[in-house]
Order: sequence, then structure tokens, then C-alpha cells
Amino acid sequence: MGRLAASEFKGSGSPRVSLERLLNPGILVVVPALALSVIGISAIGTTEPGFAARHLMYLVVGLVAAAAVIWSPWCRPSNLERWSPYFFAGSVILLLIVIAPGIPESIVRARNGARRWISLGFTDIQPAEIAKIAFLLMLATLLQRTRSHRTLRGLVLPGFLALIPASLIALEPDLDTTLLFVPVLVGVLLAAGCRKRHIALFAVCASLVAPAAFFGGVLKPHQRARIDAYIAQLEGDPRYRNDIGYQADRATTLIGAGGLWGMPADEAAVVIERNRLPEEHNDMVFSVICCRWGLVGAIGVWGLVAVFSIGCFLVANHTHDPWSRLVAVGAGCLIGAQAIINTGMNIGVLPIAGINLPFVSYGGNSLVVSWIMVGLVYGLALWKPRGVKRESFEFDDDGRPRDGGIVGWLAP
Amino acid sequence: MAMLQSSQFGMFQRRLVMLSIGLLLVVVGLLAQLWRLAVLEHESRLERAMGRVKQSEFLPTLRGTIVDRQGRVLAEDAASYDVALHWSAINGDWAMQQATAEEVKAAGGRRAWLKLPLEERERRKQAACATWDAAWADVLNAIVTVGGMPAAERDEAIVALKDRVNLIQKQKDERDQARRVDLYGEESRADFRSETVQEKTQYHAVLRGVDDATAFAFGKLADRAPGAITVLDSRVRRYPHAEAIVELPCDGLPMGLRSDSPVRMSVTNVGSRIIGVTRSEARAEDAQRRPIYRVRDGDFTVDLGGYEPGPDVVGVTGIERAQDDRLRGKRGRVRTPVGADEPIREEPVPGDRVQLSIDAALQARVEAILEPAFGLTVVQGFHAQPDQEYGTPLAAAAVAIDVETGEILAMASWPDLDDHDRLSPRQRLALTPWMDRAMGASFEPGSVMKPIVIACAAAEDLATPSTVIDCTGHFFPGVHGHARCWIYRPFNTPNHHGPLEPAEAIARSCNMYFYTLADRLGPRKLMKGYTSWGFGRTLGVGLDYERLSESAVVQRVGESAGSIRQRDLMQIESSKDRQTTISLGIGQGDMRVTPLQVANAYATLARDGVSIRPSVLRGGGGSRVDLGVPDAMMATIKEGLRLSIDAEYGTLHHVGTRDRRTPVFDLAGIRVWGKSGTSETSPLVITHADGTREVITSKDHSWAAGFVGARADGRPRIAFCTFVDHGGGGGKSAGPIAAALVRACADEGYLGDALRSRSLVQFPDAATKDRSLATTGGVR
Repeated sequence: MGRLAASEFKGSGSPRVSLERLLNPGILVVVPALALSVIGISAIGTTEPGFAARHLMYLVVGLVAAAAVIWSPWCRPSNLERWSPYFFAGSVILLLIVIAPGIPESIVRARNGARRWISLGFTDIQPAEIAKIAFLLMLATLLQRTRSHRTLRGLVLPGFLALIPASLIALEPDLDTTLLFVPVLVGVLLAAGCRKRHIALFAVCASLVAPAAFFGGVLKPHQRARIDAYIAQLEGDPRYRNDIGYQADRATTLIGAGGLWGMPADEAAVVIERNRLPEEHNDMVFSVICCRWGLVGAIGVWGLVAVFSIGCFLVANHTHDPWSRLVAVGAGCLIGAQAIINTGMNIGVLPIAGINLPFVSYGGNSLVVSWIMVGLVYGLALWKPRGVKRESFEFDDDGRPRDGGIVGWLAP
Repeated sequence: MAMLQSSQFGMFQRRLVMLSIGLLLVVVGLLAQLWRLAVLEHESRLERAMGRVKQSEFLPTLRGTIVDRQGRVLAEDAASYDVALHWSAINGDWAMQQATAEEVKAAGGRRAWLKLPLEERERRKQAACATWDAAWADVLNAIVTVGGMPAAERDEAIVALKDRVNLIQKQKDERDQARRVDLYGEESRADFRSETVQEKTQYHAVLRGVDDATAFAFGKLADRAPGAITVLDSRVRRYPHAEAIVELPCDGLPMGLRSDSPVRMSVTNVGSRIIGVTRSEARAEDAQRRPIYRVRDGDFTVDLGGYEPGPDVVGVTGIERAQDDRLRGKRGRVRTPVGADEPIREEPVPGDRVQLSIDAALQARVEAILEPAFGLTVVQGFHAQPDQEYGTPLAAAAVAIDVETGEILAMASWPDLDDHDRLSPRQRLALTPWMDRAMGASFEPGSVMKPIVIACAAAEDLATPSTVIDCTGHFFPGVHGHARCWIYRPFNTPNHHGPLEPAEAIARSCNMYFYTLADRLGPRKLMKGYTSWGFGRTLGVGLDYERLSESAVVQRVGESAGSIRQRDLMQIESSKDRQTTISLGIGQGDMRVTPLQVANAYATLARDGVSIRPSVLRGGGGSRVDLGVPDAMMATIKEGLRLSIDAEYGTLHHVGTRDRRTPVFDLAGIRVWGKSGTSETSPLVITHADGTREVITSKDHSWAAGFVGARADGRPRIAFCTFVDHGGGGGKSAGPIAAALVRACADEGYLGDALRSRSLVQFPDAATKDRSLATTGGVR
């Protein structure tokens, strides 16, 4: 397959918007995001009404930002693709600012021992959140025109691209956010046609590196302690229940207490308050949802996340522009993985990590950036280029499905 | 819909489907875990979650009563009042807080107050503070004048309260900070914010167990000093029979102490070692032993009798600790389950009434007998060649067991913890008042083991009533220096007993006889025999309990098991070490026993070889176990024990010098069977604070054990054992104590009504001493 001319990818479409055009697969991204945000406001308001009001305000800001991304000519796919390297470089610079020594506290202030925020005076921004989007755009730019990622050697550059922001974020330290780069990279590579056996090889290497990191002293003591507490929790060992395992113990207790249908708001507020769940409006908000609305509420949240992610995949399918496809897939993987990790730690199948639930957890930066991503994805569907002549990421040498149905699909 | 159509379903679409399926599979996996939590474990987790919501709605209960075998109340809870000071008053902030509040109100509210200049605000506060300072001074004064607490003690108590709460705050800050470091790393220390502990918002008791009038007076004072002082309902542990007045006869004592006039003695804290003490605060180790909330096999249960760190009454020692689970009862609870309209009330369950087998009156007599003031536990002229000054106190113990039931009637050890302040520092080092010599510590037994050895040999068919063994003075032919009979002195008096039958061997306490029997038994059978007679193991009388050691190992404490060997049995057998074995035959060598074990063994002898596990609880004795000693041999053993008392050559026959001797047991109407014991032990050496070592005494331990009955029916009723630590010759030191103990049993009617004394033990009414180890804690 030869390289396609750039002009075939850079069509930005007509600014005229019909109703049919508005009702594109991107709706399946916007609606769940809105629903999750509303759920978040209600869940946060169970114990922190003041925070809920601010979350609503951040939602409004996020909606405005999303609208700006959708309707701004500068945010059309073609322009975003062109500027993605600069965007990526800018995010790396911001990451360097937060970790560089000598930066005044008025600009970068430590919170809970970590330097993650840049103060703009009226608000703080979190470069890691920006870096996630910038990386996604840059990765799509890198992979859209080549097929080198079909080889093992060709994976080095995308990997290195991920390593730059990930390692800077890890130095903040924010190991949890660093981990999110992995599912985005894997998902986008997979969608771009990377061979599945290479992904499997990557997974095997990661499974070897993880124990080495644990036993080899790479992890900090408090990070190791979290792993110890997680393992103890899985084994039913209560020894860490009142210290390092406290958060997981309280979360699972409240989730179990919610039962099938949850409990009334007043009662849930008292139960959560008396059980002293840490970060109940933030990383552990899923426990609040389960306590408040029970198993049914949790299924609702997961359902909305699944619709969001699959909606992103449908957007990717809808738009034939390779860059847009990869961005949409990456967005779906990012939000989906983040939600799975957060809810997984709440219910005790994963160690406690500082990752919030997208759209639901309290946090202005996270909410606004997530809505920017919503606007981005919806814009990809709305402004899909018309000049694409053939499907992207179809490789003839091994792309034909074999007889045998799903086995043929899964064959490399 | 158009948006769902695609021009083709190629590799990219397949991969999207793959990603979607992967996502859904992960969600299904998470759903399984959520199902487990929210459905399968819903009840237990809801209970735990609601437990934290409802824990403040527990209702207090009443701790159980401890009574003696006659029903006398030894320990009980009584309603009382505590006078408590608020933390702000303890911390010195109360007066200024009241002054500030008063001035803010006078200024017309907070806004108006804040409009005033800072200097004006400070001036007004200082001016108003004088009145409140005076009110606080009245409170402090009332604690002395009305509460009866000395000023120095009051000040100490307040300082102690302050230190305690500050320590709680400090410990909480350290825990919280450690948790933050665990979660966020060392860098998070810089922005740590302390959270105020609830003790800083509470009242703390400074006067406990005050009466109604005092409580009323402080209640009125609280009106003049609002928020500084209050009166709280409380309970106090009372010991109504702690004080006793005892009249001990002296007509049966050895010469030098003998008198026709009885001695009247006052005894305090009767049975305190057995009853034990309580603490008014539950600690983490108590909660670990029996938590309120417990999860077992995934099920969550609430134990209303469990512990939670904080104000609570917890048994610390003795029966209060060993029977704490029965005594503490169960809290009541008021809770509103999820979905219910009305609260559900569970009434508190009072603690059980625990009846001891101890007779408080007999116990008081025995404790009086062991007091140095009575004369039997000080170095006397009738002791065998003492190496300390006359009048030097000696540590001792005494145990009396009911033969028929195995119930312990009295068990005492002197000195006791309460005697700590009466002793000089040197005496404390020598006499170790913290040691319970009756059952908590073990010693070499010596000759009191001999009747047991012969019983063990008879059970193994290695001895009969006609077994004659020739005492040649030394066991090993040609070896005169060791393994000798006590009568044999190789260079001075090379005496020997000659051929002896069992009864006479017991009475004369011939070492050779029992060396031979032990040698015939061999180490394995001898140790097995001793174990079956209750040695080398705890008897489980009801006073032992579990405790967490410093190295977090669960230990069983309260009763010593002693030991009957410290070297490996196989090593003894393989090396054909006869010396160790024959030493065990006379109660020496690798062997330690407690007076309780000895008393129990003699109770078994009294029952003709039938063992019953002794108990300090009424009705708590174990089942009867026949140890297989032939009746004929039991009769012979008893004959030997009788001769030991009645025959002039018996080691428990008399006490005193050749010219002035008196029978050890000088009481008409009784029949006594007994055995003395003099066990070699290492010298008593103390180490002073400056590191110098001093040898206090090199005398042997002194034992006397046996059983007694009324002469009228000849049936043994009481088994006894007395022990004097480094007391010298058994018959001389422990014997007279045993005789006094027997007399005490007779006086209390245990040997028939004919011998009951007319002088009863008196217990002054309402001894309200609170023996709880009250920590200066907050009260909820």
C-alpha cells in the first residue's frame, strides 16, 4: 500500500451543519458524558454540597470548552493534526515546569507531597491532564501515515513518544496517571494495525517488569506499602485494615452496604460520614455511588462508560480519516481505562491508585479536560473529511478474514 | 441509522469490535466482584457500616458480682458519681473562653465585637476574666474541701489528665501523619494538619466514686462554673469483705510464741490476689482479644460483650481477669435498622455472678497466719540453724483444698503487692512481693515428693507394702560423697537407717529408699508418674488467662506449671544418668513445683489415689481419675504419713530444741497425715542498685504437706501445703504454719462443728475501697 497524499486526509468539510450531521455517533459520546457529570454532581452532593455546586460550575465551563472545540475553526481535525507536535512540545514544557527545581511556590505548590499543579492565580492547571490529550494527538499524527508500526522495530518510536510525558509525570510523582498512557498506547496501536503478537509480547515484558520494579526497589516505600496492603486485602488478611489498607476497607464496606438498590440520600450521607471514607468526593466517589444507588447505580455508571467508549469507537468507524480514527479510539481507551482502574480500586480488585472517575469525580481540571476531549471526539464526527477515498488501517497482507468466523477475525 | 453503517467490515472494524468486547469483558469481571460485595456480603458489610454509625447508642451494663463459697460478696459494682472537669478548664482556657463569650454578648454580638479595636477587646477580656478565674479557683478549692482530695493530689491529677490527653493527641497526629506518608510519601509531611481528638471536647473525671451529698454539692457548683465542671453517673467496684479482723489462737504455737491469749489481727485486701483488680480503660490488646466487631468466614457479627478501646471496665488480674468474659456481661443497644421505622432496643445483660470456692473467713485467717506480726514467718529460735537475724521476715505460701471436691478453700502468699510499701528496698529485693508463691512460682520440693514416688512405683508394680530396702547411707557403692541419705555424714556421723519398709521410710524420710524406687522406675516412668499426679503442668484451677507478650506471642499466665525436667529425657536415658533420676526421686535436681501442685497431690493421696482437678470456682472441680495405686499401698502410705506426725522419729513430729520441744500439730480432736520437706536450693542473692551483690541466705526451702480430718471419723477432709522460701528445715519452719492452717480450718468448722471456734472473723461493713487501676481517662 502506498502512502496516501496528505490532501486526501486534510479535508475539513463544509461548515454547514444539518440535523442529520449533528446526529452522528458523537452523540453517544456527549450524552453519556453529560449523564456521568450529573451523576457526579449528585454523588458529590451526598456528602459535600459545596463541592457539588463547584462541580456544576466546572461542568458549565467544560461544556463551554467543549462547544468551543467543536465550533472553533482552529480545532478542526486538520488544524489539530498540523499543530499536534507543537501542542505536544508545549505539554512537555509544562511538565518540566512542575518538576523543575527552583520554581517559586507561587507558580508550583506541592500538595500532599506531589508537585502537579501550575497556579495561574485564578485557578490551577494540571499539566498531566493536558499531556494525555497532547500525547494522543501526537501519537495519531505519528501513526496515521505509516505502516512501520506493523514491525517490532516500528513500535520503538511510539513507545518513546509515550515515555517522554509518562516519565515526567512519574517524577512529579504521579505513578498512577503514568499508567494511563499504557492502555492509550496499546489501544491506538491495535486500532492502527499493530500486530497482536507484538502487543502480547509487550504484555509479557510488562508482567516481568512489574515484579522487578516491586522487588528491585524502583517503587517508593509508600508505593510498595500500597501493593502489600492490596495483596493482604485479596488474601483476606485484615492486618492493614486500620492503616495503609484503611481506604480500601472503608470503600468495600460502603459498597457492600449499598446492596442492590442503595439507601436514601440522608442515610447514605450519615453512613459515609461516620465511616470516614477518604476522598469520598474524588477518587472514591464510585463507593459513594454504590452506597447511594446500590448495584443498580454502579451498573448504570459502567453502562454509561461503556456507551461512551463504544461511542468513540463508532466515531472512529464513522470518520474515515486515519488521524481522526486514532484520536477517537484513543479517547475511548483513555476514558474507559481510567474508569475501569478507578472503579476496580474502589471495589477492591486493584490497588488503591490516585486516579479519578472521569466526569464523575470532583476536580475542575479533570472535568474540563475530559469535556474538551468530548468536544474533540464529537468534532471529529461532525467535521469528518470528505476526501478520503479508501479505508485506513487496512492491511492486505494479513487483513483478510479467514473462514471460521471470529477465529479468523482474531488471527494476526 | 446512517451512523451505524460502514462501507466495509475490515481489519479496523474487527479491531474496534475486539476493543469493545475486551472492555465489556472487563466490566463483567468487575461486576462479579461488585455482586459479591453488594449482594452476597451485603448484610455483613451493612452491619459493619451501620456499626460505626450506631456505636454511640450502646447501653452500659452491670459487671458481675464475685462471691465466696458462703455467699459473701467479695467484689461488686455500685452506682456512684464522678466529678469531672472539662478539657478547656484543665488546659487553662476555660476562664478566658467564658470571659470572651460574656464580652461578645455584652458588645452586642460578634460583628460589633470585631469592630472594636484589638487593644480594647483584650482589655475587656482581661477585666472579665478575673471573675471567671475566681470561679475556677472555687472549683479547685471545692475538690479539696468538699471532695476530700489533698491539694497536691488534685494538682497531680490535673497535670496527669493534661499529659494524657496531650499524649493522645500526639499519638493520633503521629498515626495520621504516618498514614499520609504511606499514601503520599515523605514529602507530604510539610502540609500535615492536625485533627483535634475528641478528648479535647470532653469532661474528664478527677474525683471518682463520690457519694450523693458530694455529688449534690458539686452539682450546685457547676451552675456557677458552667462548662468547667460537671457530675457524671458512674460505677465503682466495691470489695465489701476486703478488710477483716481475725483472732488467732496461740496455744498451739511453738515455744517462744505459745500463749493462752489469742492474737487479734487486722487483715487488708483479703483474697486480693485471687479476686484481682480491674482497669477502667480498654486498650488495643483487649480489643484484639475480643473485639466488638468481628468478621468470620465472611460473616460480620457484633459481640456486645466485646471490647472497644476507651472507657470500659476490664479485668486485669485474678478472677476479674480470668472470668472477665463472664463478669462483664453484654451491653445493651438501641439501633434503627435500615428501613425500619422504630428503633430496636436490646436490653443490657448484667455480668454473671461468679462464686469462688474460697472461704473469705478462712482466707483471712490464713493471710493473718502468714503475716510476720503473727510470728511464724520470721526467723525464730526454733528454726534450724538460721543464718539471718531473728525477726527477719520470710516469704511464705499456704494452700488448703477440700479433699472431697478438690475445691480450693484458701490460698495465700506473703508478701503481697499491698505489702510493697511496708518493706524496705532491701526487703523488696529479697522477698519479691510481686511473686505469687502459692501458684505463680515454683521451687524445688524435696522430700514432700517421697509419698508420690512410692505411689508411682506401686502403680507400676515396682513396690508393695512389704518392699524392704536397705539404707546403707549412700546409694552408689563406694561413693560416700553424694547420693547420700540425709542421716549419713561420711566423716562425722556415718549413720544409716538400715532395712526399711515403706511406712517407716516415709516417716523417717529416708533418701536411700526413694533413690532406689526412682532408680527402679527409671526416668520415663517417674516423669510420667509425676505428670499424672499434677506436676510439670498447669492444673487449670480457673485463674490463668491469655496475655500478649512484648514479642506479640500469646502466653498463658497466672499459674505456673513448674517443671519436672529440664534436660532431654532421651539424653538422660541414653547416658544412663542414674544420678539425675534418683535425685528426682527425692524431689531434687531438675524439678520445680508449686505449693498448689503439692497440696493437690496430697489431696489425691487423701482420696486413695483418685485425682480431681482442683478449682478456685465453686463446682468447678474436674472429674475423678483413678491413678491406679493399689489400696493396700495407699493404706501403707497413709500410715507412713501418720507416723511422720505421731512417731517421735517422724520429721513432722515436733519442733523446738531437745529441751523445749512441742508437737508440731498440737490440737485435740484431729487426725493429721503429713510430710515435711527440706529442699536444697541455690542461695538467695540480691543485686543492689549500685550493682553490688549480697547473699541474703543459703538456707534450704521448707515444706510441709498433708491432709487432716476429724479424729472422730478419721476421714481426711482438708489437704494442705505450706512453704517457706529459704526457711530452712521443713518441719521447723513450714510445719508450724501448717499446724496454724489446720487450726484455722478447724476454727471455721471444716473439721467438725465441735472444733469450730466461737470467735468469728469480722468484716467491717461497707469497705468501699476501689481497687481498680483507674487511669485518669475521659468518660463518655
